[in-house]
Amino acid sequence: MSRRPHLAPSDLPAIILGVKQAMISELVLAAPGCQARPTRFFNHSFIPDVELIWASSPRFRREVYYRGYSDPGLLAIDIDALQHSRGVVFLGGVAPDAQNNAALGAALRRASELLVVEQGALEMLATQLRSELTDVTNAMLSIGRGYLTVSHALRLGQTLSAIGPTRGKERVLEALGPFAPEDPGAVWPPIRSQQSPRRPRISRHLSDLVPLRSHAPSQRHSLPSHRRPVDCGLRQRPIRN
Amino acid sequence: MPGETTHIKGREGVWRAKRWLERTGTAEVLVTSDLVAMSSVLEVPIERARVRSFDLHGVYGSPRRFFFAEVKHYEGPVGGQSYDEFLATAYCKAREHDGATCDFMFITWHPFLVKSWRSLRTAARVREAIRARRDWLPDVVEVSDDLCESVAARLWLIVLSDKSSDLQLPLATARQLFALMPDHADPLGIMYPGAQE
Repeated sequence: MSRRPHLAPSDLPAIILGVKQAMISELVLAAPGCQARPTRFFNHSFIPDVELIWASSPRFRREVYYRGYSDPGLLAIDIDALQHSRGVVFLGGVAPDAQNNAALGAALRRASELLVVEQGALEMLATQLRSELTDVTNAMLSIGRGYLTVSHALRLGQTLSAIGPTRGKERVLEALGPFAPEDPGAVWPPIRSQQSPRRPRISRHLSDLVPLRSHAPSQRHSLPSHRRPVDCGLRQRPIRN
Repeated sequence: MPGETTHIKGREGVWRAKRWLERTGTAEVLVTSDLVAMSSVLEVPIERARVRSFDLHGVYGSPRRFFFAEVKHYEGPVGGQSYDEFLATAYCKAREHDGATCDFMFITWHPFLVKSWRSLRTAARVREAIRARRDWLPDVVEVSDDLCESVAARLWLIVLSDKSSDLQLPLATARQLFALMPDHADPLGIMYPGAQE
């Protein structure tokens, strides 16, 4: 029987750097208009790992908490503890059937201001969408709520990519029908007709899909910059002991 | 698999212990037994026996020190055998190079072995625990009195209660205080350009 390699405490800094770097790359890919600023904490129970700051509105920030638990029961306890946060919980290594866990579903419904995303979901969505549609992921990261799994991201990306600029909002509504707040695997509110004074330069259908608040970040970006991997420039100092 | 991951009360205990430690403002738990990518740091290879493991690993204090912790979220007292297994596991971990400067915490929700409480953190108790599990060590290795002394000096016994969290700072206040302690927020010496000063 093969055994996992045995890690030593001195191996951890490099692993933590890698985890944070991967997380930041995915966040910035999904929201190219924001800066992902790492904190010096990792997997802390109440201090975020990363803070997202939108350049156009520096006061608009969102905290990101990394959680590497595979156990949905433990994740449910943790989400309950973060339920009053308006942050993002970034899941690495969650069990494939986590969305079917009753305790986790109940915790997600209580944490109505949290956005919980599985690692890879934002990347899946961002890489499927055309450049003019990445406002969806940007808005989702800035004000989205709910639980975005990789499989939901795949479906959502396919649906949005298939909708051409001449199709109506009803088509989008129809495509997103299965998503609902009661469904743990949902990003909500998915749809609300709302006019914004600073409506971004995206298709009318998609700005209706994920409403942006007046203080939401600017959507100015170009495709090449957000497709590039992000060099976070993280370095490691010797451990002070 | 680490034992606590199979038990829901144990999982809660690990989470509560992590949260309690982090709310002290001096400790950060970096790895729990359920953090898949890193949980092997908690493991202790044992000769001729199954791999033992701790429940938590983190850093505390200034200058920073590593610690490993065993969490027993029981409603009754822990048996002497369970505690002695923890001592023997700590001894084996201390034999590893990386265990040389680690502290070992035993976190429980119920007092135990109260008549011998003062002897629980002595070198004699550590020696007794590892000698009773002599097969955990390679044949050619003798039990080291020096290492028993060293391990005993690095033992912690912490008795928590669910009420203890009521005495901790409110979450919002704790977060504000943490923001004022930039040096504290550097558990592994990782320098993040752009991190908040």
